[in-house]
Amino acid sequence: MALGGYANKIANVDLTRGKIDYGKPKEDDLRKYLGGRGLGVKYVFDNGPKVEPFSEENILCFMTGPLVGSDVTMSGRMAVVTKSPLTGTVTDSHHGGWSGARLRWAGFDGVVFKGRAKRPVYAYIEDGKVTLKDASRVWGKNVHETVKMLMKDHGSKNLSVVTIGQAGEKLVRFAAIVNENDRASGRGGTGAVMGWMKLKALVIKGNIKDKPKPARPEEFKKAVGLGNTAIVKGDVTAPRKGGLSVFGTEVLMNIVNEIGALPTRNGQLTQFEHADMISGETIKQKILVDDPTCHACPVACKKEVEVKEGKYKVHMESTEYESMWALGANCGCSSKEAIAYIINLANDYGVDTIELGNCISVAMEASQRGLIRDKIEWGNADTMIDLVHKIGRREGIGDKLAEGGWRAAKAFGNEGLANQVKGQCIAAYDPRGLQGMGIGYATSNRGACHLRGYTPASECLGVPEKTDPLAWEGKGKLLKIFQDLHAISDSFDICKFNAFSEGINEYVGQFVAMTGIDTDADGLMKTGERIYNLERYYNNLCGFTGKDDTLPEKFLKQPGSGPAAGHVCELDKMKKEYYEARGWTDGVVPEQKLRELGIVS
Amino acid sequence: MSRGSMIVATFRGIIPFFVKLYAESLGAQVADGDMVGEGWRAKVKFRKVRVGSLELTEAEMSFDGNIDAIQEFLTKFRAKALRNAG
Repeated sequence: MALGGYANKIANVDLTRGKIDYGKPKEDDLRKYLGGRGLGVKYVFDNGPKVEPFSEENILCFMTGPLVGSDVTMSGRMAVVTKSPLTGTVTDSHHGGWSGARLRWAGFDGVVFKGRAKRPVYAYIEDGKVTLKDASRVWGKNVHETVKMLMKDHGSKNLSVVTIGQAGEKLVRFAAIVNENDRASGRGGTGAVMGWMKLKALVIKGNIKDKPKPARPEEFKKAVGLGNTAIVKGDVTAPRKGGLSVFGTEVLMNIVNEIGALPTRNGQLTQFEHADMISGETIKQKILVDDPTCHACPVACKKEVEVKEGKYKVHMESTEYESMWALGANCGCSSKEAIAYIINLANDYGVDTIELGNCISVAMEASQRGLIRDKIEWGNADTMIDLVHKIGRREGIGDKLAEGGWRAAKAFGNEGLANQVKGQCIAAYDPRGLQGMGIGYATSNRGACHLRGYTPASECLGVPEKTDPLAWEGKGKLLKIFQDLHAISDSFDICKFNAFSEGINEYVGQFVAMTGIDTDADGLMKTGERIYNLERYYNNLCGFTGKDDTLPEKFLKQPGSGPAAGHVCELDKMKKEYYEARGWTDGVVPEQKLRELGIVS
Repeated sequence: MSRGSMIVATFRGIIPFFVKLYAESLGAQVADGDMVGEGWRAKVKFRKVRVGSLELTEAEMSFDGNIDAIQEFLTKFRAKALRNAG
């Protein structure tokens, strides 16, 4: 009997030959890797490590999970999984809105692309069928225009468009994939892989009437009710009451700045003197106009803003914390209006705003140090806007910056300018003021990332238990647990913000009732551990070891500022603790661990 | 079987409904701010704490009784209370 929740269908699209095959995911893979991120990583793993990201051998997986598109609260995510052109590691990048749900409603656990089309194409997906169509009319267009044109062609009802902009076409190494709600799979350059394949977009028609069916309907209803109770009554997530709902993710700006963990002016400082000007509180007061939401989400963390006049006039889908930091404090820019304008522009070109902000701040510090002739001043929004256009089109200095912060810094003659790990730059948390984030960035399997294991929940907010942000002890063990937990939610694929209020207890109930797979909290956490180890094993086979689990010298030798003054990141101590908790040998998964987790037999 | 002095554990972001649910699922009896398990008892106090513009529920559990039994309960409770976000 088929498992509940799954569509039991994967499409394999060979773009080189224009051929599409349909198959079923193996039940053993579903039990071991769940779906979403986990199953996508398994497919990338099976495709082999000796694959160039920009090559006909690489695959690009658009994945749903067993809870996607269901009644489970915040279950509208889509995972995009591939070998990253930015890092050379496996990467997965997720987005919200309705496109994930619609892909599941259209009848797919995943659509996997391989090869390269002779001419630009887009994939039209409906009723369990994928059709390749000519995309020459939208090739060369940015995201917003592409969405408009394809929606005009296909009708906007029950339709999602998941597309790249010019940046993806130009192989900007941090190009994103963006949908009709400006929700982006931002990190890792998945949009560049799509551009290399000459795959412009996925147009997905799906109706909620085709939502996944649970194996145990009554049990599922109860489990969903319990999860929903956690969300609607949760301190952080309660609709129109919790901080995430009222202020969006930007509620973190003042909190993180207060403890001296807000990387400022490319991490030269860890506190920004104008943080409040770009905070969630100020945005709500001055430019907020709406709170759009995603499938099955009562929280509405997205904050739609409008700048009514002036040169930064814009009405845009959402500001959020990481983007406001990357283009704000990180670049010394305190104009919320300008940053909103730049985020909108970045979404239109289709680039990861986090890496974009880091690239610009690298250029700013390079200019400050006289490493480049271009005059790129801290906080100059007009220069920043000019750079976004240049990056998106790969023009002038933009061509270097389009390679990502690390490669750009090397081209400017000082690799250390880039605050990166494995080629991907950091997010809005400084590892001198938040020690756990240091080990989190260093050991992330997709390059520097705050979302593999989110230690600031504990270090800043005290959820579920408070830890000292400046202390290193225990952070390695804590991170391992958090990483395993997020490997589960990313594979379901549900929103991470769900985990502010729901825990493994609620996850187990909903997963078991949906799929009919009997497991418990320990079993599910073991699955999360397996997924994390499979990623690491793949990276090991690509040549990554413990020496790559490191941080730039800036974080290890130059103390932070404000409350983090005098503190550097105690990475080596945390790494030892972390590797012990993982059972790894210098960053490498040993054979015994692979066998224990059932990754190899 | 050592008799312990007071052990205090503090959790944030877990609303009273779930504290009760998790504790009872682990065999504890919960009523009026008191939790009783096999070999231990605890007072539970809830308060609101502010972190910036966020307001969080903090549950402070003050245990008394057999240390091994308390630790066993806390280990299991922590597993249920695990949250992370991002």
